[in-house]
Amino acid sequence: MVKWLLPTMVVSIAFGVIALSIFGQAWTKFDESAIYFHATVILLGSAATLLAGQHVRVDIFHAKMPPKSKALVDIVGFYALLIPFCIILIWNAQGFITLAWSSFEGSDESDGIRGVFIQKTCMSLFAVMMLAQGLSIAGRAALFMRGNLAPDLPNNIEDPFGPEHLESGL
Amino acid sequence: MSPNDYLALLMFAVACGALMYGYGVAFTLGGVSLVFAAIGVFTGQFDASIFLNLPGRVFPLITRDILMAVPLFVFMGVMLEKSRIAEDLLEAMGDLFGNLRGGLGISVILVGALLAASTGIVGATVVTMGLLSLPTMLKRGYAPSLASGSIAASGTLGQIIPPSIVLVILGDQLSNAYQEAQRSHGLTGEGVVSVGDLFAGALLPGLILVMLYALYIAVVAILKPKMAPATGWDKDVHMGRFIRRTLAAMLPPLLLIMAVLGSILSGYATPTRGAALGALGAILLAGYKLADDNASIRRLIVFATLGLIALIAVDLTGVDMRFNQDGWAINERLAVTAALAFSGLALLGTAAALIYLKGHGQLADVSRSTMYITSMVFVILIGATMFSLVFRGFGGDELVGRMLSSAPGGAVGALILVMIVMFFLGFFLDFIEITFVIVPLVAPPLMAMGMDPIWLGILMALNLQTSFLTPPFGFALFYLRGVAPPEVTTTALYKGVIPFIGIQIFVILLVAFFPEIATSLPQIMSG
Repeated sequence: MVKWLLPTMVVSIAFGVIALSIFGQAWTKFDESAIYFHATVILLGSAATLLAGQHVRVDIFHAKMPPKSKALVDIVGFYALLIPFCIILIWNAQGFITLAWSSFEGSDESDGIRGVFIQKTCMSLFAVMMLAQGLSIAGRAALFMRGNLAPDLPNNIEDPFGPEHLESGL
Repeated sequence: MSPNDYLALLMFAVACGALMYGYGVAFTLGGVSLVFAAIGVFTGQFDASIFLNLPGRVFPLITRDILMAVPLFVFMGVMLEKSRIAEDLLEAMGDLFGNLRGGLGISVILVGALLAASTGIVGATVVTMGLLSLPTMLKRGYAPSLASGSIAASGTLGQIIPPSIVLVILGDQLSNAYQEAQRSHGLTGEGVVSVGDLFAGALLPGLILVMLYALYIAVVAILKPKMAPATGWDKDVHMGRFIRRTLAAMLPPLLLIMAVLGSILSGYATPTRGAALGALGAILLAGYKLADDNASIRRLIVFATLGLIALIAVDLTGVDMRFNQDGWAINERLAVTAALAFSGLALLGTAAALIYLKGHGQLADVSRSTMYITSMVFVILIGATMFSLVFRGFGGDELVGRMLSSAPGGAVGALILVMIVMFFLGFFLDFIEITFVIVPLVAPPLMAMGMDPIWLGILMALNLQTSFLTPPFGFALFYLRGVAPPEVTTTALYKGVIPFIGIQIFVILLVAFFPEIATSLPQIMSG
């Protein structure tokens, strides 16, 4: 689970600060690791965030919509907006990532972590995961509109089109 | 105007309209701009090769050191909130000031200012404050309008009072804009703008706001005692125990936030590092607070905290403790040994706190929330990057520049125009989206006209904060309405915030006419 990187990041940066400002010690690899944690949380955590419905929406009107309209918004939004968003990232990242792999690009510092190429690859991975998760949500929305029950969701996740909405939405 | 200009403006309008349907903000911004780019390519107005830059622009966003402060501050805020430290603080303040007329209201303002500082997302802060303090205030006989007004207002305070994540983001955008102004708008002059500068600049206006808010409640309490009654202390309360309990609830979070802010403003730590220390402190506080059934863990955490304080104290004596030095003096040897021991204690206590919090589920909870908020913020950043890339592809940045330079009234007119546009955008979009989309477009030309970047940033922040409070669309009101009990009518809510909007406008004008309020502190800090 990506989320565990966060407390790791907190502790490692905090102690990195102490090492640097008090003992005058800096380990480039150690300091850079924080950036890796940070980028990984964003890139690989976003799909989970999408699943949990935590990507912010403007809900002035959305909140008052009937569930069927919400489902429609999710379907149209996925096909018209999220797909181009992800495709353009994947498409244009090809050269960018190939270049990074061709030299196994590392940090700008000579003693840094030699993993920038992996980090950059995560960017495409991010787009692919968002596509997969977006498709799943659009699929659930479509099932809901046709009045079918969708498969169960993992724990802690509230289903926007769960059984409790099914009757009211029809 | 060329066809490109029309396309750029139309794209802006369509994006605002599409956002209203409520699909994810990040994907709406990105997706709409791509649809328009496709139209542009089709009609030959748009060069698609501009997208080859996209990965090169997105990647630095997620690896920029200063933006790492965002998840760290969020972690700190969520940890303080989920471990109910915030709740205790509010209760303790309320008890302390409860026997004064208006005391509870004033404590809500103070707590809001303190705690909101660490999260700073309008929705989250207002909802938390509303759930925590609105029922208490109503129960103690406050007028619904005054209670809801002060909660909505104090919920938005967190944006302007450092360390807030919106200031981190705004500071980052302003510093980019400042470089842009130097590069392509012919702004001469040295210097950079940093997040620390913006923190320093926001401190005074923020404190003025808090003071005026509190003053307003005090005046109401004196003039109309029925609206803000005193609650009074229980008769049989043991005075010593009461004071101890209040101090125990108030001091640790107060000290933590002051330490974080102090270390950043004094230049002891960068905002990112200060945020990491703050998050570490929040872990220790939460561990202590929640592990009330486990004395040994509590003891470890206390030792760790003392160790950290002692460590900083040793460092402040100025003894040279760098490992790679020649000729160790005896006091240096002693100091290093002691400092290493203190670090060991701190590490041990942190481990204990983390293990406890993990075992009881809070660590997973806090980390998950932090991950959600962080991803949300940065994915919006990616979407906004696409949007501005396309907008620029249509020459929209030059269009904005032309519009601003032809605004009636010169630089002042341009500033007023920008402020009004931002104010209205604040009805629909949160601080983060506006900062990402608008600031890169309008700030470079404005700075090129000779405006101080810090001053500009503070005015923008105050302006947006006011916008979030303004009926009928203000974000803060909308969220508060969602959690307010039914006996608080919407009319009461609207009536309650009007005086606070008045205060906001007063402070905006104050900063506008006396830029020193915002600019003098950063100047002193940078020497």
